[in-house]
Amino acid sequence: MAVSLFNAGVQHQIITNQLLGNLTTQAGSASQGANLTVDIIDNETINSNAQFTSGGGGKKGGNTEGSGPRSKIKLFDGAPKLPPITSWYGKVWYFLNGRTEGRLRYDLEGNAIGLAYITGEPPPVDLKGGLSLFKGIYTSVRSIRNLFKAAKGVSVIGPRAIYRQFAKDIGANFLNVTDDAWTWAKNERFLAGVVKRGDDVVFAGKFNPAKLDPNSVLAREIKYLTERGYQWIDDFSRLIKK
Amino acid sequence: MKPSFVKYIYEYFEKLIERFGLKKQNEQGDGQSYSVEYSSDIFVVRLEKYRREFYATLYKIGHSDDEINLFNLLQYLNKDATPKAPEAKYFPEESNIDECYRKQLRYITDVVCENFTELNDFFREGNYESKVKDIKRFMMEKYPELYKRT
Repeated sequence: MAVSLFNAGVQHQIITNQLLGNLTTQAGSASQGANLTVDIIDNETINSNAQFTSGGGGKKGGNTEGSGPRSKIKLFDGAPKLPPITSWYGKVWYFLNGRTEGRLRYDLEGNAIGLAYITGEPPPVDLKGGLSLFKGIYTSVRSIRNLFKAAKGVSVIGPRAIYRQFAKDIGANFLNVTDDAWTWAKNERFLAGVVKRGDDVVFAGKFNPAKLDPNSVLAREIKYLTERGYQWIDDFSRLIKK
Repeated sequence: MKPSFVKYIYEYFEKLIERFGLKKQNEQGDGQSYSVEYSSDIFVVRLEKYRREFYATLYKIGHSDDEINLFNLLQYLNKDATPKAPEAKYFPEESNIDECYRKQLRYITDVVCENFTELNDFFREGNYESKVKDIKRFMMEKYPELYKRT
């Protein structure tokens, strides 16, 4: 797995590699186009949400700041290959619904091309000729539906100071306010969005109960989530909504 | 340019460097993020900023995945003691953020200084992994609301 990082050093590289292993079902491929939705609170960017919907024209990753060249992550090199789709009805089905096996998306030839869409959205489709009308209608309907349905994603909170960069690297949501501008009210609104979407919550760096101060803001964030249905998975690598 | 709180870290940890021979290492930061470590021959004090708070964690050299929060460790070591072990202070009532950071950092270095011998003994003795497990269990039993698991 090759991950190009910014300026957080070797430790960040290790942490990123370690956690990307846990993220293959949520984070999406950084090599895929990702459309961004950005929630604005008090004129500050609080939350950038990478939605893995079709189109592929958006910025990569979940950051909202200019951050130089993005990382290229090859996650699917070792994925199993499926038999190609040759029948006409199989192709029609593919154009309409995409092709998912396990947690991966596949193309017509049976090559893994990305992660399965958490929201069940089909992959980008390059329809040509007479199908363009259908494509237009299909895209419009899907866009309208997305207006009413927030996509489940991944959000990052502590415990490492590098959580911002980590979140950007994996295209996840994070509370993007400066420490000067931080307030619990803003933090709470960010968390409310996390809960509403049902995001999985991951940590930049290894978490363990011995390192969490129960009086800290991080503990308060965790408590907020656990009071709203979130639970740890066994190895404390993420919180998921039950 | 380094953030303003860094000067407080240097100033207060200078005391630990002079008194206990700690050495600064692994300083990282990019404006909003910051962390630094001060190492003795036996253990490392890691200082990390999150939101408006500084978290002090410690680990035995070679066991960086098994960090223990400074105040959790002191509570564990003094669970039956009177008076109680010190708790973390973040001074949220301080409206001046610079002053808030300064107070936190002074408090952390004071606590490390006052308890250095006890901390050193803990890390010098063996069975670090099993002791960390015991501290994790201690924290999970004390704060079950933070550790609901699937």
